[in-house]
Amino acid sequence: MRLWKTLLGAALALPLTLGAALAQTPVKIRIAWVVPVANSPTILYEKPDILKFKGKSYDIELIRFQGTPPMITALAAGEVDVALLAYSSLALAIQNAGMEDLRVIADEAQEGVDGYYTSPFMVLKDGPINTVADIKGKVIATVGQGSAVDIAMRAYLKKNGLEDKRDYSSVEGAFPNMRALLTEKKADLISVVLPFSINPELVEKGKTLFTVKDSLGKSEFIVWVAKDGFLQKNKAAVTDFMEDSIRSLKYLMDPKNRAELLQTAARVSKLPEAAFSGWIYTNKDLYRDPDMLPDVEALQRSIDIQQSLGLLKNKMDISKYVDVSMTQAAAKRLK
Amino acid sequence: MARINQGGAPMASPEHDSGQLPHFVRSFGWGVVAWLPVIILLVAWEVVARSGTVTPFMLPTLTRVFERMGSELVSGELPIAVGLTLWRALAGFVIAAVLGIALGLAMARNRFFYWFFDPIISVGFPIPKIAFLPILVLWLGFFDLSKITMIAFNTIFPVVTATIVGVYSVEKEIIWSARNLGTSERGMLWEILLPAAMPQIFTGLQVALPIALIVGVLTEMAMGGYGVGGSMQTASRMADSLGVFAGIFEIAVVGYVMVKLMAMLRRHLLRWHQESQEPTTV
Amino acid sequence: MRSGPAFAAGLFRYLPIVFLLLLWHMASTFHLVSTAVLPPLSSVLSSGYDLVSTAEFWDNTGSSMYRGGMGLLLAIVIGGALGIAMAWWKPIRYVSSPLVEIFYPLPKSALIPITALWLGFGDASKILLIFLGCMLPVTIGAFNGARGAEQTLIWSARSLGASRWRTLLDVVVPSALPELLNGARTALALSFILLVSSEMIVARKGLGYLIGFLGDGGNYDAMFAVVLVVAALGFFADRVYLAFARRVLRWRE
Repeated sequence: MRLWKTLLGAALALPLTLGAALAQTPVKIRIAWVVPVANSPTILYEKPDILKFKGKSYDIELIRFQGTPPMITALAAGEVDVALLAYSSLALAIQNAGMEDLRVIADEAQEGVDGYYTSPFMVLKDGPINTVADIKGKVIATVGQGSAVDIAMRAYLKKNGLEDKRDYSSVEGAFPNMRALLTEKKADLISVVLPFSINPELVEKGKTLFTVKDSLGKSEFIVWVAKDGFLQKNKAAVTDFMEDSIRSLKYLMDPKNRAELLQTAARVSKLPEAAFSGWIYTNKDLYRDPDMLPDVEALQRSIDIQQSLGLLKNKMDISKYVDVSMTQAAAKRLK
Repeated sequence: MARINQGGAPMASPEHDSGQLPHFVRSFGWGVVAWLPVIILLVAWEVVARSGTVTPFMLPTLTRVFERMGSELVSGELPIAVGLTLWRALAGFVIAAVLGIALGLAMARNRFFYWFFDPIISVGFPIPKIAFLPILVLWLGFFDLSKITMIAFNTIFPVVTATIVGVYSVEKEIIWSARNLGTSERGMLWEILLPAAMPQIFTGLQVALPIALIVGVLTEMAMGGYGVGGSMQTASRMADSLGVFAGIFEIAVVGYVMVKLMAMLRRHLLRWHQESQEPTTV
Repeated sequence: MRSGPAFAAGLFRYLPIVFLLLLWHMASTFHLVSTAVLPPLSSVLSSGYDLVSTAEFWDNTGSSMYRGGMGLLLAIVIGGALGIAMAWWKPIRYVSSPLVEIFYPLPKSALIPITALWLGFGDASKILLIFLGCMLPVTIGAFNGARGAEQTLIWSARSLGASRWRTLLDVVVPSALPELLNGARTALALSFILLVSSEMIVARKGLGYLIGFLGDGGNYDAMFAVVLVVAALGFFADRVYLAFARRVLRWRE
């Protein structure tokens, strides 16, 4: 009986919510994300009093995706408006999926910025590998061929004369499982990112052989993208949205508000605050531009490396696909 | 076994309406009708894909998907991928079938087995087993062993439940009279219970086989490497939707053939049963 | 008064589950599995406790149960009717079998890019995928069960003047029931697996969403807690269903 009432209630509520949605004026911005906290949109819109325009000119809806491929499909189908893509996925979406209308609108995180964190590739401390040359004949674990960190790893190994299949073999594993793959000796070299790279057991048993910075130098690692059509149609709302995002990012990066940042991160991820306290939004984290402006040159360099490895068919001029006008305008308003 | 005259059989119908036509015309005609929904679906696909309402990335035309499959066939990628996926799915299926039937029989005949496994089946069947994949990888490595184990682990449940239902539905009279005739417990199993439960067990196998294929593909997608699932995963990472759709078509064809062969096997093995008086489809 | 012995009997009956949990506990105590991939039961239970005491968790559970329930309901009603109709009317069998046979062995989550084209990423596409995945066990069960109906019973019903419909309802459907009901049991179990896998790929909420994001974030304590909740819900649903099926079958006899 209860069930039927609930079902009936849901059925009745549907037209109401639809009606309410239509009556609202704010532009709904649907944001795709993958990892909680590490993807900033999951924590940027949690504090209503610093979001001046949220619920007025724009509103957001967060949608979680399992990795980038379904996210690109969703962008193409118009099911999400803003997605967080690594440089590698961005290039593939433009070239292979033919999404000529994609635009980079903002920076999410950069790798290899001096004085900031860079993701390591690790081996066992007391294991057989001490130099890159020792990788010959060994097993490396990657999160997936062609992904952003995978490109960094392959590029570095190639620079040192090592080719996949000929000189080493690769297996796949998700970031959370990398530690076990290394410590249980299922792989000799692993690829890890924060927060998994600072796990105490891994820090104790593993050591860094090389880093993403060693391979790519400074790189624009993850960017916010949207479709040009959406941006042109909702310029004012997107500018407001970026203003709120930048304000919120600056607020969370401010050491004065650290306690609040940690609380939010813990609440969103359902992990203890201690899981974040050592690194998040400090110089032990990836660099995030405080104005959320991407480094287009660095982005271009990473994509060129991707292409040189044969993971992208043709060379590409990424500057054609960047539109930071709204982010710039928003940053200016905050000055 | 002779086909029984269908004069008054209620199952009869279309065959009688077109009784005058030669057999091959009738079967050809039904063949077309049978495939009509599939043909309509494919035509609709092609029309939507060509209409320009969706991008080729979202829905490539069938022609291009078939071209892609053709070139993969020529290059040898397709047979290798399909062969590997099929081998893993079938290996997992056979393990699940043998263990599943054995466990089902044991549970149906032995109170201890029933007590022990009944709640475990109830909890194990609906649990999302993909969560345990990292554990299997650590134990069994990255290759066939962990994939096949995962397939068997998912596939065994419908076989067990079907076997139990099968044995329970054997009529008590048959068991009593067999026992009165002095049949041993062993003979009872092989000569009475297993054959009598066979239709239901086979239903379980028919349900399990496609699950084996599905889990095989999903495991390959999650773990990478060769196989249809692995190729689909690589293709989708490269935003190469042709590769993804080619994979879907390959699984559809392989799956259809497997389901069909299973139905034929059913018909062959259950020749003696009621149902075989008509060709088995599903 | 009888609750004591009944409780003890129930406890005894489900003891094997306790045994499984004990096995899990031992696996992490004796390091049979790296705690990196299978956290100790105690930490899973404690984060599970924190999880289930939030309203957000029950909101997620509710939306999953809605999707799973709708998909399953459609699968049982449509799948069961289709199976019996396929056994009883040849044209239906001819027209629907290739379609059914082609769709069943496809991994439903691989179809998400296609269903997203016209259903988007909301409830509808998830319900469709659960429906497709759960339908065939019911259809095959109903079909094989109906075809297994004693021909002599059908003939005698017909010769006694029963209409085709009456024969269908009084002879064919009851004889298809055991297999149909077992097919529905399979569908019930699959619906839990399917709802998790469809919500893992794209979602705003649901148990699969929780499993997906907790897993990606490396929060395995909480992820396994959600897996346990799904298992518990599935277990409970299966027990209730079995009791229901037993009653239906007894009534049939």
